Amino acid sequence: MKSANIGKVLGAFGLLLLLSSPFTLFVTPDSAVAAAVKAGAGLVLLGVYGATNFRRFGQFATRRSSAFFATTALTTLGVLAALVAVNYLAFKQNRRWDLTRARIHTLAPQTKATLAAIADPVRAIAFITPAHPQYGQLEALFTLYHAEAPGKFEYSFKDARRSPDLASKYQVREGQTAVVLSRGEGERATHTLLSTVSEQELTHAVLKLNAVGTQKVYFVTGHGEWPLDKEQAPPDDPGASLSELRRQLLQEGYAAEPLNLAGVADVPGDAALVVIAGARVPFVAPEKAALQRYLAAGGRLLYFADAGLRDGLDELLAEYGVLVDEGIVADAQYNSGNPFVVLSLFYSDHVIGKPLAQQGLNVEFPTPRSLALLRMGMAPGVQAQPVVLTSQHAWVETTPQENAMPSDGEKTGQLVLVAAVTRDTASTPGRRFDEARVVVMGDSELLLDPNWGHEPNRNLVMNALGWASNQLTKVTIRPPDREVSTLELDAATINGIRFVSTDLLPLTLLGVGLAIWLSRRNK
Amino acid sequence: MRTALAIARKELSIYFTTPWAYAVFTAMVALTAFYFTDLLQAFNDVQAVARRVGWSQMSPDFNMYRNLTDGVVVELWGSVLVITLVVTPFLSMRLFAEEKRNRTFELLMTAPVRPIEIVLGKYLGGLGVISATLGLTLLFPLLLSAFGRSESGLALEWSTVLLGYGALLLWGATCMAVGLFISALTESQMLAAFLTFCVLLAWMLLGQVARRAEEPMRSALSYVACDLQLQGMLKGVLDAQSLVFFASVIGFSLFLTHRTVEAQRWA
Repeated sequence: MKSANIGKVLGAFGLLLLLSSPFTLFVTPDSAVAAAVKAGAGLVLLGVYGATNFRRFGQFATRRSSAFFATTALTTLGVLAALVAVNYLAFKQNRRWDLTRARIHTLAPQTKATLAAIADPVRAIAFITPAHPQYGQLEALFTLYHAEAPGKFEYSFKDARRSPDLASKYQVREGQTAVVLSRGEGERATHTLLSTVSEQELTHAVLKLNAVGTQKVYFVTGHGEWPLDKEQAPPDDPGASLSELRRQLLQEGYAAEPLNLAGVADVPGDAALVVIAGARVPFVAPEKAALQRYLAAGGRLLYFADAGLRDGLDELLAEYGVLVDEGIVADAQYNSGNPFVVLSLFYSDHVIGKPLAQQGLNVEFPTPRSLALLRMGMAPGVQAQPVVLTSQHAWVETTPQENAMPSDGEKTGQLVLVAAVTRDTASTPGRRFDEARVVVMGDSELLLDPNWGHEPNRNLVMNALGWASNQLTKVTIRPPDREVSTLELDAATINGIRFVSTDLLPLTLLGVGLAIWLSRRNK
Repeated sequence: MRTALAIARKELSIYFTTPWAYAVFTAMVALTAFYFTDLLQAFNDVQAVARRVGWSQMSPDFNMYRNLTDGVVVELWGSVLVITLVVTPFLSMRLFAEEKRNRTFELLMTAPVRPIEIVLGKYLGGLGVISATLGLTLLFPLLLSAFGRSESGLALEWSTVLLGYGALLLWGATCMAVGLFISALTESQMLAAFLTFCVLLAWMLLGQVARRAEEPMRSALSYVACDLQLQGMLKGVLDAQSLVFFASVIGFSLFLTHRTVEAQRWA
């Protein structure tokens, strides 16, 4: 055989080796060297082809054509370089448009605010195999986070089998799918482990990681308040607990703990926030005094009243400019079928309600009480603002058992359902914060487990909690849910669709092709 | 441009009067229909279970079945992407290779037609036929919109559906450009089809290679992996970088084809 022919065979084999070298990486990911050797061998064999067929090239590249081929090679390189440059720019300055109806592929404002507030860079390591069904979802999420906060949020994917050191460091088992978020370096490095991959969880983890220590939220007990644990709920009303709220607090980096003020001189020093939810037995004087001292020193309080409850804290609340009205709020127009279950889409421009107003979300209050904002008689430096109000068609029903119509002497018009109060405490010696913050809500039932799924209410409470505890990054909307579209097909319809699409349609097209073939054959 | 359009018209008339194109149409529709009915059945079954037990009791893995667009159309477009990879080489293989085999290429080169017009004309012809092939798959979302329901009235999110379809067209146009270049290299149609398929398959598998690579190689490979570039568009997100990338590939392929055709004058 002539050397030129041998060269051709070797050249073809070389081309095969060169083109198939990426497959080697795909089949055996650890063998980058093998892939490189294959590609190198391929290039050598192509070189042999070039050397043995040099004369053929020589014939091909006549004097005139040589100039053409040289120009072509140079132009090709130039075009390639220009395209690489354009693509590099596009990669670095990418613009994206989420065209889905609910913007489900766009980060929630809460996530954006959280990422904007990151002080130290956060690194995410995903222990997940490329074949895992959630790999793509997680990759897309990480890409969005990185694009939103380049330099602050970095990520990488690891296989626990191929990175045993890392897996062992973060105590990730082989085969386990987990995301580790870490912050800081060396001994000061902190990390948190996630087993799910939703935006909600990831953002909560970033928040948790960035919280300077774990903030404690104390839930006052001892006056018949709603319990924190499901087990403590009354047997006849198993949903009457705050366990879902507690779970969410934990996710957001807070520790939720009960606090009984009886026999306690002061609210604990590590309290980021105190919550009084649905107290029904009056507080005693030393307890009231402890709360008074706490707020006077710049404490933070979330207070939830409810229909028919009396806890003896009227005086304390009045000091902060809020009076809880007697009776139950009813609304003739804005309700969910029952005038005592009040709907509201009326927000002031306070930071707690603003995100809800922007999204047009309606909050729902079952049997709330209204609030009166006082102008006189409160402690110095106090400013009270409404946050959520009823419509103009509301009234305070003082005799709900008797009727559900406004009567003479009952307060009517737009009523305040949620109020936010601040008090300047910058000059107070031994203060906790420079400003005391109190949020008063006329309804505590919206905290209960069965109601916690109502997203607008949940957002309202978490925003209030974020504002009161000074975690402004949490004052935003949680990620939206997808719209559910339904399909209910019986077997006959499915079979009909299957017949049309897999049988009738392809057969029709085949028939047209056959007709064309036959008519051409007969010509 | 008028000459290019005339060549494109001629190409299209050839495609639509040969049984071969209809065999390809049939294959495309049959394969897509197979995936469609499979996805529809799965969606219907999961929805039936969800109606019984409630979505809150369902695993998060079934979340995509909450929405008809996500559960059926996005998945269907993903499958059509792969089918296009198989179908396009059979449509592009004849563009230049057939002319070379039939010795009509020399005639074309001696005609008062510039190589750029030949390339553009043939590419536009190919583009027309791949658009028609992919257009047939729009029947399936139309079927879904007839049977599905949602709170807002529209069963499908047409913005997502049409953007996904746009991604298919973009991919089809890219495959056709690559196929055109390879067809210009050889006179064997089968070899052209085989090589086009190999190149496109390798390109599509690059995404898997990228996922196993470490940074910064991972980012670079992810950018050039066609399936990863198209993922966003299939789900309803338009990335400017994807448009730039595929436009670059199409442009470069046409440039190479032009140089190859031009080279025939010098050979």
